[in-house]
Amino acid sequence: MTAPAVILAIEDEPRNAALLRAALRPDSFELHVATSLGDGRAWLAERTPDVILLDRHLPDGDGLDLVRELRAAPGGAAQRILLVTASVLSIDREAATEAGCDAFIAKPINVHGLIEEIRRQLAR
Amino acid sequence: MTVQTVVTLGLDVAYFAVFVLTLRQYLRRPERVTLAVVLVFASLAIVLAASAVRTVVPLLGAILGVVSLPAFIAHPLLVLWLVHQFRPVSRTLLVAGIVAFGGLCAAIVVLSAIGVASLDPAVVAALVVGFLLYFVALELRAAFGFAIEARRRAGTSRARLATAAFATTLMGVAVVVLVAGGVLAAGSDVAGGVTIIAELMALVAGLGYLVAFAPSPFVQRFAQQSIAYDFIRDLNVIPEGSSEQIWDLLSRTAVRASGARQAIVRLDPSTDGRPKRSESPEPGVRLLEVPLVSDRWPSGVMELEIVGRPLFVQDDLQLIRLLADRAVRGAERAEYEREREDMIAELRAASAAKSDFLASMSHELRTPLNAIIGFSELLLDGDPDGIDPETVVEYGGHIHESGLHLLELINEVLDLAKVEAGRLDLRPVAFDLAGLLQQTVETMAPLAERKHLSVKVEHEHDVHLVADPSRIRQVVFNLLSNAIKFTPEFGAIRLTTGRSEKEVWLVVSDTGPGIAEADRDRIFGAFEQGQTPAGNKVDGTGLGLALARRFIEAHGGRLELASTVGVGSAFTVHLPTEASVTGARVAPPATPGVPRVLVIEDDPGAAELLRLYLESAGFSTAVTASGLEGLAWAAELRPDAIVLDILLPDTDGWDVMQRLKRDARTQAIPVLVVSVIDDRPLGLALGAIDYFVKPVVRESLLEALGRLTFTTKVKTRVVTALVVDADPDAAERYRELLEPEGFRVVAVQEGMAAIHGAAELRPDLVLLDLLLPDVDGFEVVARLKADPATSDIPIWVTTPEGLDARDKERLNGNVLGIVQRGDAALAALRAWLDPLAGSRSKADAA
Repeated sequence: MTAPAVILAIEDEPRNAALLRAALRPDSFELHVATSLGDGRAWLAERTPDVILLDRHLPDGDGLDLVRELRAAPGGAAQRILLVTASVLSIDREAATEAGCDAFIAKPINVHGLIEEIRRQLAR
Repeated sequence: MTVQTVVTLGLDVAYFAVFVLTLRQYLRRPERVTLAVVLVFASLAIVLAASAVRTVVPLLGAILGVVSLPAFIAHPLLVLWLVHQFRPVSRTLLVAGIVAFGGLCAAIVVLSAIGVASLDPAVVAALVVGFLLYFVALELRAAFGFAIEARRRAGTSRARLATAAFATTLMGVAVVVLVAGGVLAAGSDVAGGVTIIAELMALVAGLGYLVAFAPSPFVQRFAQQSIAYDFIRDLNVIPEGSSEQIWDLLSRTAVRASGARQAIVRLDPSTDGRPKRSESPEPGVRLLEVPLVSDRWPSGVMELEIVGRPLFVQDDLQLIRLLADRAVRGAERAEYEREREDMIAELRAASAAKSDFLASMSHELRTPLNAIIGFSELLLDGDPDGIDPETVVEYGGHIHESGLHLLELINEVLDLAKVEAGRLDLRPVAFDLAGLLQQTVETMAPLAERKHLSVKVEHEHDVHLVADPSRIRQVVFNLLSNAIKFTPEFGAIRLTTGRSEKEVWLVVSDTGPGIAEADRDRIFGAFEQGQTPAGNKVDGTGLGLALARRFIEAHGGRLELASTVGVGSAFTVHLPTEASVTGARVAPPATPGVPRVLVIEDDPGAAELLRLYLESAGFSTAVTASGLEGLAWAAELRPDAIVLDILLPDTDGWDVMQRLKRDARTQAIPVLVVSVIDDRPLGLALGAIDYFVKPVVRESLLEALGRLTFTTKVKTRVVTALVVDADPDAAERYRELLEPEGFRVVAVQEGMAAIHGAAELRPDLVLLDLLLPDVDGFEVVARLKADPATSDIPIWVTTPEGLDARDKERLNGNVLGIVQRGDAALAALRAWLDPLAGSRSKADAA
């Protein structure tokens, strides 16, 4: 059995963070939850996750800013980033693509769909 | 006819015409300046008339000379006086002129008395030279005055004044030519020629005067055209929507045309009286008003401040009025254009706001839905036997909380929509704001204590007002919960109220982080949320302040914010003490055959939740936020049960309960208290059959109500009542009452028999007297409640007189009702059965 995939989720809403914890079981995923962009950056300074699950409306800014930062950093193009957001207008989807997200997952999420998408990203 | 005769005739006609025309102007508009003009030409007219008369009647020559010579000598002085009217001339010059005039007149009198011939020619020469100097000096000075004034003015006035200056100069020269030339050429052949030249010059001057002082409309219009041309040219390059520039152009043009010191445009669209003038003009300054007629500015005028008595102002006013009309139309269009642009901008903003709102709404709905759908998906996917109960509870809890959040959101959005559509249903009643504050603060106290915040309420003794207490409570709740959310630990929150003559005010201040100037308007918008100092997300829908402001405004009040970053914020509510009171509402109609619960709860969210709980369990509901309305509805509807909140806007739940128990129509209706106030003993002592502290658990509430549902069973089958009374007659009386209602009555006389009988019979109702021969009624209640087989059987207790509160407390929560034994018990029971019978007969008829 392979080592669990390391996932960083940046999600400030406690119940939605709890849902990610419940959905991404520890036997397959090693999930870390940050509740703000600041927390997320601090964690990313220490480690590199396999996949980042990112919310947009965070207390200290827009998640897409972090995407741009990561993409601009050396080796940032390889980082898998999934935007998980309740902002689902077409303009929001375009902004996500432009910023360089690998996938756009609309809330409310389909738990299976999320896991499948994560696996697809891991397989790339 | 000789050339001279023609010229003389022309001269006469010209000057008479000027005289007559200026006289006509004076008679139409008697002013000092027009009088001066008339006098100037009167003097010349007299001279010319005299000479004409002399030609016809030579005998009158000497007499006419006495009149015409002084008139002729007066002419330059009069011209100077005319100029003095609009351009003051030095006093010394005027006095010198008058002295010279007097001296010359005197000399003429003397000369005519003694005859010219007898005089020394040198004296005569000196007199002639003196006369010429006097005449020429004054004429030139006057011409200079006209010329200077002409430079200041524009258009017609300018042309007319310049012509006047020219004519005056020419007049002076003509006199020099006439007199000096006459003297020098006396007796020679050229004498006649010199006279003709002089007269021709005078004729030209006269025609000039005619043009200057009595212009034909054609001449006038010709000159005005240049002003109008300039005005229109400048008007056309003024950008759309700029009425200020139009008014500016108009006043500049008016100043040029009229010689006014300044022209001020005063517009007042609000009043239809005269616009206020800042101050009355100083002496010597006149104000002329040009009306600016428009629907937009009913009282608009342009004021011309005119110094002295300028010439030709009245004529120029005609032009100015014309241009003012044009300016008004231009400005109207500019205003219309600006309004249209403002409106378009407003509509665009509204449309953008609507889109933003929908986008936010979508986002806000999806967030709790994410938890609801996600966790329920996990529950459904799991192996039903494999999921451990703790996980189910945890997931269920998330789903439930998210659902409640969603409900709150929806309620607030609906409220917001109601306000926006102007359909907010306010139900104003008179109440004490201080009491409402106290209650709200008590409710929120645990939240504040968790953060070690001190919450102080300071109020004057009487802060009554007429308003919708449930909306005001929502506002207070929102402001207070915001203060608690945003104030760091160990901070202080103060609620201060007071009243002035017409309004009640409330200040909620905190020692939170404060709100930056730039955010102060924004936070009242929908879906705008602040952050705590630590940058953490705060719980809430982001609609609270938007709603609070709108609720207050719907009451005719206002919500204001003062804040200093780093020090704290203070929200101030101003409410008028009086608001229109609408009539009482009608209770909703009953559904036959369905048990009905009256919910008295003012918090819309809680009320909605109770309604959902109850209706999902098959009850019909009537919901009111007002205690007084609840009392009225209880008597009218006779519900099967009442769910009562304690903190109510108009009166409190304790009072409602006491009044329910005093009224024969309502005293038998079981009351369940659902409140944040944890005072179960008081509630039970007052007659509640059960007491729940919020948040109420659905199952507990329904279980308690389930104990009462036998009332509906009565409607479908025969139900059994177990009567426990030592007095056999009592049992008989109950039987008489109950059997016609479809009850089967079983009577026992002892407590133990009751306990066993209840277990065996499983009656639907126990009617229990407290005084029994073997075990007392308290014991029976306790035993029945302890046995699972009998614990859900409702018990109706009859008591001896003087049951004290402690005894009631022991029973309450376990029994359906307590009434005094005897006739009172029967009456109460009958009252309680009344609605039952009613719905039964209706059901039968159906």
